[in-house]
Amino acid sequence: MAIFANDAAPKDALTTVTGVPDHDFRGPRGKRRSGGRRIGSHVFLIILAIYFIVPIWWLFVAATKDTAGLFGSPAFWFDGDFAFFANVAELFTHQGGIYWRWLGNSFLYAFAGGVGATILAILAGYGFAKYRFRGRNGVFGVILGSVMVPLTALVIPTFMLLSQYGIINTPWAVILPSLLSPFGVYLMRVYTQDAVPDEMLEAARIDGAGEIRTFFQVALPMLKPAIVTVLLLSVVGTWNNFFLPLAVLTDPQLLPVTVGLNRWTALSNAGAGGEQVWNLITSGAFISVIPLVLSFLFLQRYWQGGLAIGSIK
Amino acid sequence: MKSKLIAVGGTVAIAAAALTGCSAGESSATECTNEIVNADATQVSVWAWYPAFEEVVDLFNENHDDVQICWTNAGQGNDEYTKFSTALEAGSGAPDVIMLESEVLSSFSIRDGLVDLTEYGSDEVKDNYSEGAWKDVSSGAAVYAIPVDGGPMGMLYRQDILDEYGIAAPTTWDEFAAAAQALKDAGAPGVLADFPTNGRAYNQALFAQAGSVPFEYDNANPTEIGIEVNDEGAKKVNAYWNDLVSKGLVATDDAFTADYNTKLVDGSYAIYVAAAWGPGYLGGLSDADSDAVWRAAPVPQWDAANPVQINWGGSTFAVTSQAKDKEAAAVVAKEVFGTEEAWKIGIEQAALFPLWKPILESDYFRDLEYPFFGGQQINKDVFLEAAAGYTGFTFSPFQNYAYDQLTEQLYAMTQGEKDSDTALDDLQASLEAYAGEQGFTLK
Repeated sequence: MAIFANDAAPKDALTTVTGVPDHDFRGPRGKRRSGGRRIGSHVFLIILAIYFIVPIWWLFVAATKDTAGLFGSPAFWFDGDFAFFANVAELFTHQGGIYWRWLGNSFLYAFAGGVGATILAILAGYGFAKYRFRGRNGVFGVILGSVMVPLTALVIPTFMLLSQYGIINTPWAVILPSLLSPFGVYLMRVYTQDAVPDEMLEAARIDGAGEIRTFFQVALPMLKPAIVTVLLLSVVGTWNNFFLPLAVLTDPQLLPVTVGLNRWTALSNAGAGGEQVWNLITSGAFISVIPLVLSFLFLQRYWQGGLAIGSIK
Repeated sequence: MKSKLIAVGGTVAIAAAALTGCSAGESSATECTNEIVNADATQVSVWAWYPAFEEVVDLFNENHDDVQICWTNAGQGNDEYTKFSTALEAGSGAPDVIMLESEVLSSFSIRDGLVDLTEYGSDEVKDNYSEGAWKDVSSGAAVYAIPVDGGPMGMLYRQDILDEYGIAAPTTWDEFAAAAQALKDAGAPGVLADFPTNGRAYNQALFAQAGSVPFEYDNANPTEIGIEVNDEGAKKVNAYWNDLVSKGLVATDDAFTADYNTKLVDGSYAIYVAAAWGPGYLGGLSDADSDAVWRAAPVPQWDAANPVQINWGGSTFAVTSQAKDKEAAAVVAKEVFGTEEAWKIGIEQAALFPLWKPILESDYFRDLEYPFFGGQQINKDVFLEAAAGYTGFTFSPFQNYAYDQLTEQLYAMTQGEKDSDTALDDLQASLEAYAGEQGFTLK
């Protein structure tokens, strides 16, 4: 997962979505087992399903209410008037429609950070897996160790570093740190070790292929499932990233949607000089989870395959 | 195989193009949210989070040939303070002028983050503000900000609920306690009011009404501080509320949560002891609730013959020590909310309570009718008097910490873990210890 991913984010629906284990629901259907055991596991799964779906249901219902409805009607059921489209229209006008700018920023950061982190992870993982060089285990140990460092602890050092180079409050301040994905490197190394036999690389070299050609034409195609997994993990990680952009960005035009909505929450909670935009926050949060939900539905196949990487030695 | 390579290469190229395209346009940290009218004039960067502030900025820029505001919303409250704090640490990155709540001014002036405005003509505008408002931005002889809006306190109540149970709106705290009891005895579904343990400035204001002066601090002697958060006034008020809490006559819900918002509008609390921005807050929550009948009255008093007015919240404009052109920055701080036109935007669109006397004392503001209160002229009835009677308050240079500790102690008290006096004594001990650790000498 990309560095700084969402650990400091408020535990709202934005992050909950990523926790839905869709594939759990498939398991028991295929095999017919004795009734008693099936009921037990079904009950357990139903409880889990409710547990995961309730926050999303709340968000969906809340997105259809205006501010008065949010605080004046039952939390888990619809209010009399359906205000979702009015809210969306207001998202286009409030503060000059800055919400859509935030959403666009989120796409940019997630895409740039995700693709960049994946490329670096492929290169590094391949290098660690297939080349013997002095200090290989040492360096890899450091990378593995960095997975253990609490991510929040790195924010201030990162800030100082970025500040020295004068890129605070620019898109680079979010994208550059997102490029570092120790877990991605680890995943790629493990997968490369198993999926790309040394003999094959040897054969390519004997046939006269250079190292670069060997990598691109022989190794890379075999790594496709792992690449998709790392890409998804890092895109989701950057999309949900909260603390890093919170710390390094000031200009409202540059914020990703997570931090932007958080600003509106602070503004709504402020007494003096505040502005109540709860309806925009719930509708905005709902819209912002849709891209992730869609990407999960469409890429489920790769996602499930990828999750098992590394689990079988 | 080739085509796949090209695809990967293409993706990278697109990403790179997207990046450079973006950074080329926006990498400069001084990008303004507003448009600059006079491009040749000195630009002053401003951080502020007021709603509808862009219109105020435009107004200022149109009326000034030599100074222009370049405005950014860097977040509300603590979000902005954290950024300002980091910028002070780093030595660059702060704006020229910054919106700060009056309670945090000392926290930044002690770090040499703010400019003493007495050198930049603050005296010229001093008469435009009440003594209490001016005291809130001063530390000894120094003036660290220009006041903008305030939060003189009053009492907002549900006329329909009180009428239903035959209770008159309380004018003293004794009547308030009796009303709470009467409401409970009548079997009302809600309670009279809420006592939020995380009220922070609210709790402190209630204490101050009974004469509590928790801090003595003057920036001229920055390492010396007097702390007495457990004085007689604070103990009296705290015991009063703890009594109501233990009898179950008031709620202890945290303020500014979804639950609290719901209860404010659904009649769970019949009375909302509020600041002058409270009507705006309430109106934002329940603009569609037609059944509720809200009215405003003066805040209850300990001694009806000698009323004491209190304040909750309020913000200011300060000039930071990193300001490039301090003269120009001071002009912005003094003049941005220095016209009737600007204030009409502030009052009508941002629900601000002005401290600038020309508008505060105008007929327009006094006679303003509030539809939310059934057309009641709440400024005339309640808040103007509250603002005029407010005498100012001295905050500590570690006000955030003090509030956090206060919240912790009040929470322990409402949980029944300690009595009201012990809670304040423990607060006193923890603040003294903290001040010592931070290198302050206690007066």
